[in-house]
Amino acid sequence: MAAKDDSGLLADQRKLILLNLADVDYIDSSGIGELVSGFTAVKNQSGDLKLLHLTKKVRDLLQITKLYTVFDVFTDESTRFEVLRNLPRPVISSATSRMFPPLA
Amino acid sequence: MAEAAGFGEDDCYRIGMSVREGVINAFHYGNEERPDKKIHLAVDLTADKMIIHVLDEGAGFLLSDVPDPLAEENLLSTSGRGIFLMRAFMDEFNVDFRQNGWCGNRDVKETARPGECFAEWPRRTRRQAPTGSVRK
Repeated sequence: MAAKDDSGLLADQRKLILLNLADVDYIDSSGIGELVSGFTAVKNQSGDLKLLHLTKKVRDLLQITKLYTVFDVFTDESTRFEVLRNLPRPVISSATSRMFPPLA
Repeated sequence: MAEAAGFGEDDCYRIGMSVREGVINAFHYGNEERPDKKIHLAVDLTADKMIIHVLDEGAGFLLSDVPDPLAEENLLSTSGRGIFLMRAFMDEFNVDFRQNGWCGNRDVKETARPGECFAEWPRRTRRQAPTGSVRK
């Protein structure tokens, strides 16, 4: 699912993850399960997993499965930077090949 | 197939996801991922409906036994949303569980074998009539 999946990031002691789903326009129940699995694993390590730039289809799926209120979801760059500034060890994991530039 | 039958892009997405969820469930839960068991996929296209049947060779199940993925205790479950999505995306959804391998559908009956259990997945009513002729 992700360029570096959640379990890999956790193994690297990365516990604060912002997952960019901008280019993900299809996700099924297995993908939702992976998101939940990653979310739970990160939470169990006292970390956090937040979602950025959901496409309409992914957002709709999270809404009908009532998971939209479980995940913290962000939609714009300013929010993303604000969130990351509040995280001690930010990691951006992208489900796409497009990575955001490093924070200043 | 759905696109050729006159369904729009959103409907094709929903139908496609429902079929994939049905087949994955048939493989994983019904046939227990055994390569020697078959999955039967049949599509009935009528003037006003597309009816999709997914059949496995598993023991069968009752919809009433399937946990509600929206229940608070299941919300963070990593599985169990496939049937929920199919029910959400299709106009009608039914699971047909018959001990004698009969599900009342002609096309399905022809491919059935005694002892099979049937899961009939889902029906979707066409929202807009196709402009061309109906193909079967």
